[in-house]
Amino acid sequence: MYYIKFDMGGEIGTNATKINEVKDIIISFVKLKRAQRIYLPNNEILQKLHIELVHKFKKFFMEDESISLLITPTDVYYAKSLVYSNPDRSESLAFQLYSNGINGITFYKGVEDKELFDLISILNIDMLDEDNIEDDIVTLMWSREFNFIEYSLRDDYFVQNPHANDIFDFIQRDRKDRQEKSGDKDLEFDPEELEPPPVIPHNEIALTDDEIEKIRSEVDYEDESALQIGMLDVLLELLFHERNQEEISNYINIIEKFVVNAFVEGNLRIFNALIMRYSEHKNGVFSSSDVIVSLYDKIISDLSSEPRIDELVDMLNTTYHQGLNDVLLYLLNLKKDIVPLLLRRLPDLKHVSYRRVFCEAIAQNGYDYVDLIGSKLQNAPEVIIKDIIYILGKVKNPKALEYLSKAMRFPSKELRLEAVSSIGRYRDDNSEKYLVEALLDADLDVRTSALRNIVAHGSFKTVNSLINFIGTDDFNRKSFQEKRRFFLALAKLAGPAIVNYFEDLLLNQKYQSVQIENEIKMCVIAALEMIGDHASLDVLKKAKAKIKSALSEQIENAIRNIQK
Amino acid sequence: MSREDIQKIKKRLNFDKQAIIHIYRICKLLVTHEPDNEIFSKTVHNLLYAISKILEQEGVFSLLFVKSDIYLNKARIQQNITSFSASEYLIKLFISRNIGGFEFYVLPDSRELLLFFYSLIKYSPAEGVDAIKVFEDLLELSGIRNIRVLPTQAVEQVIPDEVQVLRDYKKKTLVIYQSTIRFLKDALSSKDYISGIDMRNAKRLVNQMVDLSGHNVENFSFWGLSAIKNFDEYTFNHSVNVCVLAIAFGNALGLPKRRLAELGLAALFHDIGKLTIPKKILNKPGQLTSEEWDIMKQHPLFAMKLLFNMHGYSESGLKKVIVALQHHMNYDFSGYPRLILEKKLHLFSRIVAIVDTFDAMTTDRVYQKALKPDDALRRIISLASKKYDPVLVKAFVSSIGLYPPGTLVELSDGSIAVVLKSNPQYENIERPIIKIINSPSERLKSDIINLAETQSLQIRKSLDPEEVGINTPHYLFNE
Ligand SMILES: [Fe+2]
Ligand SMILES: [Fe+2]
Repeated sequence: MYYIKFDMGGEIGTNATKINEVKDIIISFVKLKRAQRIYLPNNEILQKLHIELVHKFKKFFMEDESISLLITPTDVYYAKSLVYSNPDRSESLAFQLYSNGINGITFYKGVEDKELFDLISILNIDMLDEDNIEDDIVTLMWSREFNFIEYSLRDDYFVQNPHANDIFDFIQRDRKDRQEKSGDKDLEFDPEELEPPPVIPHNEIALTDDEIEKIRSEVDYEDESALQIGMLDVLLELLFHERNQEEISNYINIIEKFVVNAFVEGNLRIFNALIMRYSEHKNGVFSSSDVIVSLYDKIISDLSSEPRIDELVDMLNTTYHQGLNDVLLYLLNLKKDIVPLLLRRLPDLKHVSYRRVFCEAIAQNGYDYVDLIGSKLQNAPEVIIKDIIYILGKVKNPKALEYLSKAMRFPSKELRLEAVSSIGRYRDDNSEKYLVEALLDADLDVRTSALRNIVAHGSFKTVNSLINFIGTDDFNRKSFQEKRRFFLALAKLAGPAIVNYFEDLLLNQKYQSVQIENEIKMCVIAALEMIGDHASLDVLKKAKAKIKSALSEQIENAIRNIQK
Repeated sequence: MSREDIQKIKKRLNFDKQAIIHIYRICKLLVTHEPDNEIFSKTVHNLLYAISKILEQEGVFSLLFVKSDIYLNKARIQQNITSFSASEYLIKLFISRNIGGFEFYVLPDSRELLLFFYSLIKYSPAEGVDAIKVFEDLLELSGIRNIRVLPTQAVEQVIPDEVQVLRDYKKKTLVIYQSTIRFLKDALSSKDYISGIDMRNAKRLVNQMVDLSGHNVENFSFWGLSAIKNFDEYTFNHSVNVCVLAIAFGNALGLPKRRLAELGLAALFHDIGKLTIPKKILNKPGQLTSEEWDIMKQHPLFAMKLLFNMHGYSESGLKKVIVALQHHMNYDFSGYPRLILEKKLHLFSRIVAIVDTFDAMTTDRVYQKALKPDDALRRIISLASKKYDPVLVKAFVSSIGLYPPGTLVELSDGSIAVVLKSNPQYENIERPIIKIINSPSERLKSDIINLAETQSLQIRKSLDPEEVGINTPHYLFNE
């Protein structure tokens, strides 16, 4: 908004082509405005209209520096020519602007796509919506700080009372004719402070560099959570001291709305900070106040209710800016019994990352709900089943393993893979049993993952099951790479204890075919190299003396590597 | 200032001020460090970024140092407390080198920039030589070809403010001021104010004030608006004055526009709690009983409840609540309401506490005579650390000046004058720009004089406008 008078814009003698171009721009503008109300942001028609409008502006600005439009209640003028008219007030762009006090709008060369789109978004905001009680088109345009769009306001917008004092008269008037002094009492200061003022030494009012820096830091950085937490402190303290029943319920009402508002406004970070502070207080300074303690529970219960969880899901589906940690912390602040609600709404979450956060929260509170969670393995889309398997891996209830072993029989490889890693999170005999079973899985990735998980467990008990597996037809059919991985896993699990067994395989064992013999021996050599102790070295040296084949080079390399 | 300039300045988004602060940091460091030092890399990078933004928009980056101002591409850069010491240093530096400024059309590289400032720091012109010529040779030798130095210029050469712009500006400030008072009066006089305050309109008015406060207009200061007293009922006039002062002060502190608007809105409603105090008490002619004082002291709490119920819990709503609640708490928490958990008052509350007192002290009331503005400032200074944030008090005095706009003063030659605008340099804190009303010497009558440039004249003392019978706002707003 500028204090400079708005001029009608456009040079005298502006030709008809220009005027038609402006008309065209306004038509596009109005079309885009309507489309934006109907379509989602990524809609093709909408995007096409947007590009079209930007293009028309660009074309106009190839010759001109700006477009200034004059706004009247029904019409829009450019260079004194009518370029838009609509008598229907509910639809008229002119009326919408004019009734908000705007009598002129100027677009400058360089106007950005984003600015145009935002301007139209502002014009499309429903001002009757209760959330917008503090803003209108003009305040929103002001806050948006457009660089290339400017508007001017009617001077008469605020004329309310034509008989009121006039400021221009007032400043002309002589002092003698001035109206009475006001009588309103005030407490701005103590009349005692009005004794004769002292003389101030100059150096007391000069700002030092440090002080300037202090101001600068306060000006540059605004700590929103400090403001909110400070407010909570005040409210709780006032409630704590209040004795009047009516006032108490007033404060309860305010505090509840205040805390819940952080959630309603979608500021989960602030909500978490508030609830943490509240919980500190209710367990600390205000722990003796039943009112304060029970209000806390009331707030948490409210936010753990079904409609609130629904609100949360809607919020997460429409915003992208919530920190994952904030969402998780928020969910963990709620009551534990939200698990069934979260499970039910899980499939409705659009963003994968928020779904993972839900999973995390379900898992952390899910111990007692393992059967409910397990029951979700059926009749759900594959992605959700995958999430459920993930959750089962994290609920820390060994009962989950039964469900996971069932999941190992899903036809989808993805699901079995997820199941293996979930099983891997449990460290007991059952989980190892399932993992060894998974070594027989039809899919290589699943088997590899199972092997990796077995190794990660580092349990010696598994070694026997693995050794038994070697030499079976199933094993022999596997690729060399997989066999090698298997042997390395074995070496890692068993360490020096398995060297004797390896010696046997290398020097004494009989094999079905030369190919299998070579493959297994190569694997053993690699495994021995990995163990790398004296015993392994001895075995390799013995082998070197005994084996004269393609393998001898590999053996020599292994020996050299160990010796290094 | 022309329309194009305003447009230009608006697009700069503070990059102008940032550039000045970075140049200042670089120059100060160059006094003690060689230009090839690692220490410069970050600041130079930031400087180049700011410059590139300006170049992108305006095609040229031309800095001129004239008297107490810096002009970027011929438009004066707005100063605030945090950028002021930087500007002052640079102005002195350039003036002492007899160089008016510098310009370039393409972005220099960091080596060029550093060498340029290094030459400037190390170079001192001999008497009677053509500084520009000598300096140009110096740049040539260092291989700096893209930066051109400019000769010193007089203010007049730089583009004087247009008379019409100034007149429009004054008129607009008065219109907005009046509209705000009327708005408040209408909103708060109606019985159903609890649901009835139209925050949208309040916000529009405050936004316009913020815009107006942001322009540095010749010989006129936005602060002066608060010299209007008793135009309407105290509560309304006072609330709007507190709003004006808070915005002007916040602007001097360098608050960004959006926060200024929040501050202004909070200031406007700081005393809204008084609405719930019975008129009987509020307008009681005699002394209040201690019970009545206790009720009066409830007004911050009333305001808090009122605002919570009225405008919800949004972030900007919360700032209104916090200011209304804290404005009498005092810096040392000796005020009211007394709360033990409060550890630090919000910046806005500390600002409003100062300007609230300033306006109340300088307003005539039935039971109390107004203090002259400079006396009110001295009072406030003497209460710093107890009632007010001492750093903010200093900032307040240095931005409003020891004789605030609207103060009636007597000069050393016996003239009577009104203060129009303060000068930003600290050494001129007692030497504002004034308008002579009455003078023993005919020549000076109705002259506008910048006392910073007229060392022969001083302010002898401030005067009470009522005693002299002068309506000071008249001189602030009329030609
Ligand atoms: Fe107050
Ligand atoms: Fe006040």
